[in-house]
Amino acid sequence: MAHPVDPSPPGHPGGASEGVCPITIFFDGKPISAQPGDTVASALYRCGVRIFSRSFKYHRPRGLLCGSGHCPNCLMTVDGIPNVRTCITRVHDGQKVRHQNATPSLENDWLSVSGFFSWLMPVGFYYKTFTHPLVWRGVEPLIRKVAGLGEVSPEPAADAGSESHPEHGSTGAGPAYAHIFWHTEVAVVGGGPAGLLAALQAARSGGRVVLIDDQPELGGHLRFQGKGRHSGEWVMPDGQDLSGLSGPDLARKMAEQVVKEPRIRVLQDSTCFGLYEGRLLGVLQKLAGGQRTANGSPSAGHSQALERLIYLRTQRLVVATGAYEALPLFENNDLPGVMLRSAAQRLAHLHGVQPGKRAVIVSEQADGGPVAADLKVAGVEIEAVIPRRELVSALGRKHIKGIRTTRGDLACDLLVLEGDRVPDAGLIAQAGGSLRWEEGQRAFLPGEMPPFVTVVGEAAGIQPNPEAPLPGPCSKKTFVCVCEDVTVKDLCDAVQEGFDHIQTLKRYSTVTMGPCQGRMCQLSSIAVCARQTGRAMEQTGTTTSRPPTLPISLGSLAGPRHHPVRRTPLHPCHEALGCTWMDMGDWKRPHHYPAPAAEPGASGHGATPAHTSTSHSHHLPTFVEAEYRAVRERVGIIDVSTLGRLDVRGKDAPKLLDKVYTNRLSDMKLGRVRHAALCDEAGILLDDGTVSRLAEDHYFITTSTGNIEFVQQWLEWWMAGAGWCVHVTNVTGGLAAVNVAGPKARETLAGLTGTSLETAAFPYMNCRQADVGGVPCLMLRIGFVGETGWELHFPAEYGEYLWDLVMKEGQPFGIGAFGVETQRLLRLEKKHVIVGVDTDATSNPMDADMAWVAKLDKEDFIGKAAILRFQARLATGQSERLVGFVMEDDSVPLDGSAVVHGGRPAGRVTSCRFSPSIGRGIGLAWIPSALAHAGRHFSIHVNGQLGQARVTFQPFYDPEGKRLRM
Amino acid sequence: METYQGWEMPREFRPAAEEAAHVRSAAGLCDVSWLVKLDVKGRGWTPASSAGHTLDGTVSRWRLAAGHWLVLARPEGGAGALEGLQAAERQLPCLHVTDVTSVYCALLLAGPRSRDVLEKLTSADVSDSGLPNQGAAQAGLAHVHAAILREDRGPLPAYLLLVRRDVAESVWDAVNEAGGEYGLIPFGFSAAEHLGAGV
Repeated sequence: MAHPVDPSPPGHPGGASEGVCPITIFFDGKPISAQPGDTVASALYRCGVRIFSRSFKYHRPRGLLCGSGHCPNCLMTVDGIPNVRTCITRVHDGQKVRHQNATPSLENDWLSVSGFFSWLMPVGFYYKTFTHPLVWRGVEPLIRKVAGLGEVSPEPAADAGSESHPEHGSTGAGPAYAHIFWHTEVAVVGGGPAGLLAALQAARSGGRVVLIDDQPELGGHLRFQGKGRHSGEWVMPDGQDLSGLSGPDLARKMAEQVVKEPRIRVLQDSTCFGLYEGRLLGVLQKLAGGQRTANGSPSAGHSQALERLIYLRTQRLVVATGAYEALPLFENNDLPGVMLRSAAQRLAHLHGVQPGKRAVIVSEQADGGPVAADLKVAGVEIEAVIPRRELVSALGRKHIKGIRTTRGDLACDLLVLEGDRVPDAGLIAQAGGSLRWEEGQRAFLPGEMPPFVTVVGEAAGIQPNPEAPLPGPCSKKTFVCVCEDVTVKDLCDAVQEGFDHIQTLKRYSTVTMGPCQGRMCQLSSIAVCARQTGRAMEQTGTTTSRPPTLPISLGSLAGPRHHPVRRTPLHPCHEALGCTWMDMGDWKRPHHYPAPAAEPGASGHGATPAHTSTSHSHHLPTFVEAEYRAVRERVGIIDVSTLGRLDVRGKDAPKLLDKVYTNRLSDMKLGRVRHAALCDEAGILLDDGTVSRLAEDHYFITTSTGNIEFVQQWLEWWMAGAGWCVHVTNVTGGLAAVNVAGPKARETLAGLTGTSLETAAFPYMNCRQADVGGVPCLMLRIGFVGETGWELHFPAEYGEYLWDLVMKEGQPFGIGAFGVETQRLLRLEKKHVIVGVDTDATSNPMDADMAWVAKLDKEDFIGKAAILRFQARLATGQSERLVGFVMEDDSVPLDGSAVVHGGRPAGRVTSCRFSPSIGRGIGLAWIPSALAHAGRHFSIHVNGQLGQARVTFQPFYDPEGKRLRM
Repeated sequence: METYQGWEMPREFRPAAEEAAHVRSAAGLCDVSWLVKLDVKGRGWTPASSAGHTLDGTVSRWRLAAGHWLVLARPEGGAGALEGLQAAERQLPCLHVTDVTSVYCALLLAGPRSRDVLEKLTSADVSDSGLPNQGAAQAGLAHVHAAILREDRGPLPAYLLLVRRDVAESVWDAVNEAGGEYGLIPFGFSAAEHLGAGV
């Protein structure tokens, strides 16, 4: 199947295409003309910008160095996104570019005074200085202000969206980042000649190929070579001989073949930033540049996303990442005007920009090699060509004005360096491949590779690098790491202080830890370490390559804003009642409903229990009080569809449930319901719910909201390998559920079903399959909120219908819907423990006052041994216990309030509400065992004062449970 | 909205012929939750062993895992499918059939760009080799668990996405959002019939 190729702008080389509108970008608010095919950096360079950034620590001026996205020197904020590598970011009309880490401007940065205080900031500065938290707290804001990179916008997506996509509106609507998952047989990383050939060969062999290249156009270094004949034999897999073509022509021809090949999917402007377990490649594709037309408008049909993170699983990986140039070491090697060879060639050939007027070339070739010819063609005067060993330092303050050599000074405004070629081996190391030092080539090259990895091109081997002397240990202005401002002196001092292993040296000095991730400095730092320790390069070894190998945006990792939302089948009913929603995990649940204007109960519907007090209503929100009274005095209905529901079937189901639940469930009679709890092997409470027996081999289980997936997995885990005949099916989504409770619940439901609801026929803790309003229901008679009530589970598609029917039927009895807040109050009055709210990851049934759920006379169950130990510990009084409490005063502590004993925190309140039934604050709290005696008092921290609470082990409402059984 | 297969379903969002043409050239999403869905668990049962049940195009069977099948049926074939399975349930020592029609929503994602849409939502391999026609996979889809069943309509790639009912609205939104760049539209049962209903 053919795959579309991300369109590229009209290719350069050498300037604007005729008939194409010029592009205007804004640099620090100032309009700047750019040409199609320009990068942000090339456009700025053409307009005379020479300082592109200020260094991390000393605010030294930094100019274009690598021109290929491998160094930190050109990082700017583009369209609201910080730390963008402008040398590989294409321009589009209206683009907004801002400098970063400089005040007020890059040319005149006041913060550059920090360079005068470099003596105050030796290597290991943080470790030596911030030895006390107070010092760090005091200084951190200043450091954050002075040092660093770009600033993250509080609204990055909207900011970026509105700046770079004005046509999408200023709200930044639409996702700013996208994710996509691809699978392929072969992934080729690198779009240079070796990568293109490898991709063509793999495709011709029948494989599906994804080719990833971080440049806007394919061809690698061929693109920015001169017009002369490119060396070597170039025969394509189809037999076509391309030998004799110039570099750019060769690149173009090869790219054409790749694009035509239907089995190759090409990703340009895409950075492969890491290889993860399972042969998963992380690829970040820029869409704002890659999918815009020359005038900056997005291509039709493309995503509005700025970046797309591609999760690419591959069977084979071809590493064709090539080699990059590293910065040679000499004094002032970071001055603007010092430029690596490839950067000068890119400017000249790809963008038609003259890199300078008067250049010195550092090369081992007497004539300066191809770059000299390229610069001459671009109109640059060549002042001299010198070998690297003769270079002493660069001269100048904000820009290079000349160089000092062993033979004297030379004036120039451009110093072009042939840096050491370093194979880009990050992916190789992450794949588990080894790197070995090759003295002949003076480089670390791939050794043994995993079978699925192939390395081709310069990543596998390079032309030998020249041997050059390293600067002395006192060189303070010779920068090894331009990201973190680490000098040769810093490294030498660190080794002197004992950090003489390359790994500890890295951590102590932060060398290789900046945005370039060691591209500019790894080889140099290893060389300095080797020299200072007297070890060979091979012995010194390399630092560890970890993903991401290049900076990637946090937004791209986060991805689209979509988050799943779970709605019950009754959702529209609640909306119609105007409920206030709350999030409970992924679920949307009604927190409460609007309070009715007049109390229906006041009109004389139903009975009002004598013990139900409303005299302290000022402690309850009106809506809660109204809902509470409906349930306690008349009839209430709540949507409990969020409960997890499991259908367990099979002749061995009783065995399984006896094994995993603490209760005994195998002896349940048909039609019975039991409360049941799950514990882990350590006796920790995991979940609770009800278990109903529908047939000898058929159980219906409810779990707490949000725990269904866990409970299902827990059951399946414990039945795995047992050979039992039992199957567990999650039927949560298929069932709506309501709980109808209150003194008038029976009357309300009786009109809808032919099943007798009288206690004699349908006792407490029983279940029946029944027809309710024509809908097949499973009715559980359980004490959910402490009143006579039934929980109805029925097919979800009848949800709205049956809700409306029950509401209509209950209207004469004053039925009211109640939400989660009222439910919590009602349950708390019954002293029901909510697992996960009143308990935590250390709670067991014994300490949580739920000993009744554990049938310790049962032969065995998961957690029994631990619960026996907890039982023994209970007698020693050495644990915390969950107890009920009643406030002795009018206060109502908040959930989470501290229990205080002896002037010290001694526990915590897990739930607390004002109880209308007893007119006081009631709750549950974890307190020391020594205090856990009925009637004993303890203190709770309430609004800055201590309130007195009294321990109780009885439910606060209807302690004998008579109302449940009526 | 009209009654279709016993359910209240959208007939069309725009003229059905237009919807069908668009789906054939780009991608579309249709709610086919009216399909009868039966969860079959147990060893020893294979589609061939459900003898007596006619394979007449109204029933399809999908192997989700070892000993775990999903049977989909148009309502007219649903009763027969259930009867056949219940007969097998009685004959085999440990086979259990659960009607999960209400548990799952079924979305039909069809069209030449349907795979592109799907690749934005799931890490499962939905390529021709990873998920060939009549293949089934269980995977995350828009951050929820889903069964992805490939059931092409002739030359038109098509996928049935089965997700739990409580997250279906969220998944519907996610698929529509992901499909925006590929021109995905929602379509009704009328256009679905044009495309070949399948099961």
